Amino acid sequence: MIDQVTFSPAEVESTVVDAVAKSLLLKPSEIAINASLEDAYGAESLDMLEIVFALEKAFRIRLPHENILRGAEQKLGEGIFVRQGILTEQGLEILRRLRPEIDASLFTGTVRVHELGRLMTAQTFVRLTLRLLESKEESLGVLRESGCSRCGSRAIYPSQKAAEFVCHDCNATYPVPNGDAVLVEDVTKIYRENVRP
Amino acid sequence: MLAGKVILVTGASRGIGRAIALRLAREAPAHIFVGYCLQHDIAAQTVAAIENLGVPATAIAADLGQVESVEEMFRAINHRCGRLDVFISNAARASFRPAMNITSRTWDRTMDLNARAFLLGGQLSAQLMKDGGSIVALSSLGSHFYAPEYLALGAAKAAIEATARYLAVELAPKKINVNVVCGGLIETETTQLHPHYEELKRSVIAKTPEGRVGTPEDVAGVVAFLCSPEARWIRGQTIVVDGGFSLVS
Repeated sequence: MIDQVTFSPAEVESTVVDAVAKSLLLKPSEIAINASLEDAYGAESLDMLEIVFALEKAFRIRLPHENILRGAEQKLGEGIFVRQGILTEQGLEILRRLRPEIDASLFTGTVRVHELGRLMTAQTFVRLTLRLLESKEESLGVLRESGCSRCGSRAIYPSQKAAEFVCHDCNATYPVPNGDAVLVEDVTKIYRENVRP
Repeated sequence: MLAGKVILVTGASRGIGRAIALRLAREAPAHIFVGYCLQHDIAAQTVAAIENLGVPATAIAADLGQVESVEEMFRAINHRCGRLDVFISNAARASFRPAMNITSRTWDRTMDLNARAFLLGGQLSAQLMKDGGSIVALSSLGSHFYAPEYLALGAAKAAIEATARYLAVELAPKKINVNVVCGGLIETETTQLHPHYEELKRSVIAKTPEGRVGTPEDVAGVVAFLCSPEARWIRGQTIVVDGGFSLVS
């Protein structure tokens, strides 16, 4: 049973660039890892969805789909990060810390939520994928320590077909971490440790 | 009506697709496949709602813009059930831009995701419909009327309606019935995201004889009828479901 959960950053980057290139009908060599996909290549929402689907399938993870700041506000309080479609100073600080692949100066001044899509790069997808793979590995460790809830076995492995873990002894399945939940937790942690006034 | 049948509804995690899946579940089919792309948790909720009605259901992910992904979806259905009896082509996805801003890539992608996905799904369904069946595609008024920034999807929907006519003729000998349901403005989570939704809604209500916008259930009922034996003499038609809006405006 194949046990691989983690991939090297180089493997992840290669797969991401391939997925981005395929979606944009370009060669991988034409994709600059830090270029805005929208500004440099005319990428639109249809492309992003295709890239996300490809990466979820390749790595058997669940990438985030929802607005993470809004998700975090449901836990921390409405209006902390976004007010009337504009990022607050705390929202900007969260993004500066959460998205190190983006020039921090782009998270200053008046930044509207609907403008954030322009800041998606291939590197953003690499970072997200690595984070979700890290979370997947942590989750597998917890499952193995606690044992299968159905039969108690610790022979739990990542599925090679779907974004889930499978018990080798009774075939019980467990979903991998939800990307929205992982990122919201990351935002919450950053806020409480570094940003909260 | 659909007892023992195997059904696939694409784009069924929410909105109109979910309403269709739940409406068809009331007819005691053998299995419903809830097609979706990325909304895993929401698709799982729809599966749970169907199973609460006593019908086995499976969420099945596919990128309808990729031929291999569509083929993989139908292989999975064949592997699980060995047949298909009803194919509802509901999923839709597009970029909304003025005509002069539509790039070749946007056009191709929108056509692949919508029109080609329907043709391919129809072809693959027909191969699994051993005892005949029903194919229903979802269209919208933008297929034959102007709507702002709707060209790409409107053209794809028009292609879907034409494709349905051809499939209806060529699949009739196999006892496969093909039709289209063309909805007016239907209030769903997705349509409510439209930046000018409230303004649009008021405009539509003012021009609709019954004075309201449509609901997913309004559409689901017509889809269910078209899957029934009573609809067997309706072939290759596009049934407009808009509360009379298109008659007046």
